[in-house]
Amino acid sequence: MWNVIKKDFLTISRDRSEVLVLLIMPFILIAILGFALGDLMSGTNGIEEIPVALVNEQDIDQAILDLEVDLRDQGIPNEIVADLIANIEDTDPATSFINFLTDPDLDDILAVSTDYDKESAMLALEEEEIAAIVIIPEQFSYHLLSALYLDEGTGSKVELVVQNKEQIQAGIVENIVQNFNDHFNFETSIIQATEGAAVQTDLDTVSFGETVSISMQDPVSAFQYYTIGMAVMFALYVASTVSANAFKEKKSHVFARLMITGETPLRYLFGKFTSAIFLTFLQLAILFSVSHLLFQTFENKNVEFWLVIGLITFVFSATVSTLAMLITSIALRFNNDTVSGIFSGGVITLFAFVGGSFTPVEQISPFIRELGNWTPNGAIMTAYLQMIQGFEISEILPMLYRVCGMAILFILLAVAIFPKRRLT
Amino acid sequence: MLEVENLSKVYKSKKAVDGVNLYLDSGESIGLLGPNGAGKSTTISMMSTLIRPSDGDVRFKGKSILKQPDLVRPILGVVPQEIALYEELTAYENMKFFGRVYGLSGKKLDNKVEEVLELVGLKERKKEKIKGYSGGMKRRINIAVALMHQPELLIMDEPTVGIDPQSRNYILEMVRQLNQEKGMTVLYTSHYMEEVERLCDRIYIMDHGKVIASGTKDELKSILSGEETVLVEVQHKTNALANQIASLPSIQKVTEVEKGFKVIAPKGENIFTDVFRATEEAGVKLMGLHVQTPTLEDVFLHLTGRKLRD
Repeated sequence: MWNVIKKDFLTISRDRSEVLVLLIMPFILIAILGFALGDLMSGTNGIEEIPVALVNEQDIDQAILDLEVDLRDQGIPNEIVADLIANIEDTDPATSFINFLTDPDLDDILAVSTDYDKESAMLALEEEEIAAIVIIPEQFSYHLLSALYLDEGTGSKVELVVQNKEQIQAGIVENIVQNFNDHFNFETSIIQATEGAAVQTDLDTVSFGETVSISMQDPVSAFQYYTIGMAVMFALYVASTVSANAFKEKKSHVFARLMITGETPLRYLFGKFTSAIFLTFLQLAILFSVSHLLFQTFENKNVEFWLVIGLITFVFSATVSTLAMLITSIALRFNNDTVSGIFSGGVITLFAFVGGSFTPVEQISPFIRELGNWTPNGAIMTAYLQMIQGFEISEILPMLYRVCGMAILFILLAVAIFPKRRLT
Repeated sequence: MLEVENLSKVYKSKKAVDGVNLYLDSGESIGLLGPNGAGKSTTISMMSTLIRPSDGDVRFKGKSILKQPDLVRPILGVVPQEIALYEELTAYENMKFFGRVYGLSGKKLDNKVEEVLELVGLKERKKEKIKGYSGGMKRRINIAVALMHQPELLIMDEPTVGIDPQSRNYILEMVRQLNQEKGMTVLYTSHYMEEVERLCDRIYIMDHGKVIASGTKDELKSILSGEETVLVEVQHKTNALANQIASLPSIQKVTEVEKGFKVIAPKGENIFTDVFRATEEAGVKLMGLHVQTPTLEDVFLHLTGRKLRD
C-alpha cells in the first residue's frame, strides 16, 4: 500500500501544474481573500465592539408623579395607588432597558456610552465615532405605564438612530433593541392577561436573534474562514487529479502491466482510495499549517481543538478519496476521462459556491446554506467553522455523520460502476 | 509450456483474431510476424491474461489460464508496445515500484534493480526521470521492468518500434542473451522481419487475424523453394515498365522497391531476356539484374501479395 502511496505522491508532487492547483492556488486565494475581505468580516479579531451612545431624556421621578396623579384621577383607592407606584419604582421600563444594554453579557458586542446628549451624539454619529444612538424619549416610561395601567395611549418606543441602515453594525444594534421591545411587550401582555400574577416565561433573556447569537460564539476571522473555505474547495481537486492519473495509467498501459502482476481491479481501486486519503490529508495539513504560520490563523487553540480538527480532516480526506474512486470508476468504465474534466472544471466550482467557500452563503439565502450542507465540502466546512466557534463535538458530529454517509454512498457507487473484468 | 488453441477475439462485428493456434516450448524463441493490424497484439494480450478471448483457450502446462490466470502470471514478463512507465519518476523509482508490486523487497529488490539496470545498460542514468530519456532508453527500461521478477516467459510486443538503429541493436542483443544465455522463453512480435529472422527459432506469420504460415526460418523460406526473387535495377521507375514486366507469362509477382522492381518467378525460368526486352521497349535504362536469396519478407509477399509494412 505504501508503495502505491509513495508512487502517487512522487508522480503528483513532480507535476508543477498539479502542485500549483493543489497548494499554491489555494494559498494565494487565502492570502488575497483574507486581506481583502478581512474588514468586511470584521477584521482579524472577529466582530469588534459596536460603539453606541445611550441618550436618556426622561425624568423618571417626574414620570412617576404624573402617573400617580393620573391614577388618583381615575378614582383608584390610595392604598392601591401607593402599591402600584412602589412597584413601578422597582420595575421602571427605562431602567430595565438601560440595565439590559449595559449588561456584562453584551460587553463583547456593545460599547455603550451614556456621556452624550442628543446633539453631541448626532455629531458623533456623523463623524462615525459611534455606530448608533439609542434614545429613551422624554415621556418613555410614563407613556408605557399609562398604556399598561390606565389603558390610555399607544405606549412608547425607544428611538434608534443609525448612519446607514445597511451597515452590519447598525443591523445588530437594531436587532438588539427590537428584541428588547418584543420581549418587554410580551411580558407586559402576560401581566395584563394574568392581571398582574407573576409567570415564568420561556424567553431566554440573552437570545438576541439570529445575527447576534452567532456572534455570541467565538468569532471567525476572515483568514480562518478563507483558510477553511479554500482548503475544502481545493481538496476536491485531489479527487480529479487522482482519477486523471488513473486514466493516464490505463492509457499508457501501466494499468495492464499492474494487472499482469496479479493485482486485481478492486484492489487497484482501493489503492487509489488510500493514495487520495494520504494526499488530501497532507494537502490540508500543509494549507492549515502554512496559513497559521504566516497569518496566525489558529492562535491559542488547545490540543482538544487540534484533535477534533484532525478528526474532521481525516473524515473529509476519506470522503474526497471516495469521490476519487467514483470518478476513476466512471472514467475507466466508459474509457473516457471527460468526467474528471467536468468535475474539476464545473462541479468543484459549483460545490465550492454552495458550500460557502467564496462567501458565507447564509447571507445570500438560508436555502443555499442548507443545500451547501449536503455537499461534502459544505458540510465539512460547517463542521470546521463550528469547531472554530467553540461548539461542542457533540454538536459537530451530525455534520460528520452526514459526510460519512456521503462517503459510503460514493464507495458503493464506485464499486458498482468499476469494471471488474480484465481490462486493456 | 504454453499452448494456444483456436483463439479468437471479436470486437463488435470485427474479428481481430480468428482461430489462432500456436505453441511455445520451454527455452524457445518464437516470433510472431505480421503487418500492423494483423492481430498480433490482441493475441498476446489474450495469452497474457489481459483480455478474455471470444473463443478458444490458452493452456499453461496443460491447464487453462483463462480460468486460473494466476497460474501463469508469476512466470510471465510482458513488454507492451507502449511505454508503460511513470514518466515523472526516475528509472530507478519505476523499477523499485514495479519490483515491489512483484513482491520483492529489501536487499533482494535493491540487488535486482542494479542487476537489471546493468543488463539494459542504464545503470549510470538510473536517477534521471523517464520523460528525459530518449526513445531507445525508454524502450530499454520498459523491458527492464518486465524482467524484475526473473520471468520464465517473456512476451515482447514490438519492443523496437520507433527507435534508432543503435538502441535496436542493443535490444536485439539483449533479447538474444536472455534467451540463449539465461534460458528465458521468448515470444517476440514484430513487423520487422529481419528482427524475427535474427532472434527466433520458430516463426508464426499472421495476417488479418489468422496464422497464415508457421515453422522455422528455413521451413518458411522453403515455401519459396520453387521460386526465385530477382531484383530488376533500373535508372528510373515507370508504371508502364512495371505493367509490362507483370504481364510477362513467367512472372508471378512484381513489387516496386527503392532501386527498381522485385520480381518473383518460378525457378529455372529464364526471365532475363524477357525483362531486358521489356526495359528496352519501355525506354528505361537497365542498371542490373540480381538473383536474391528469399527472405521472410518475400514469403509474406508470396502469401499475401502485400509487403509487411504496407
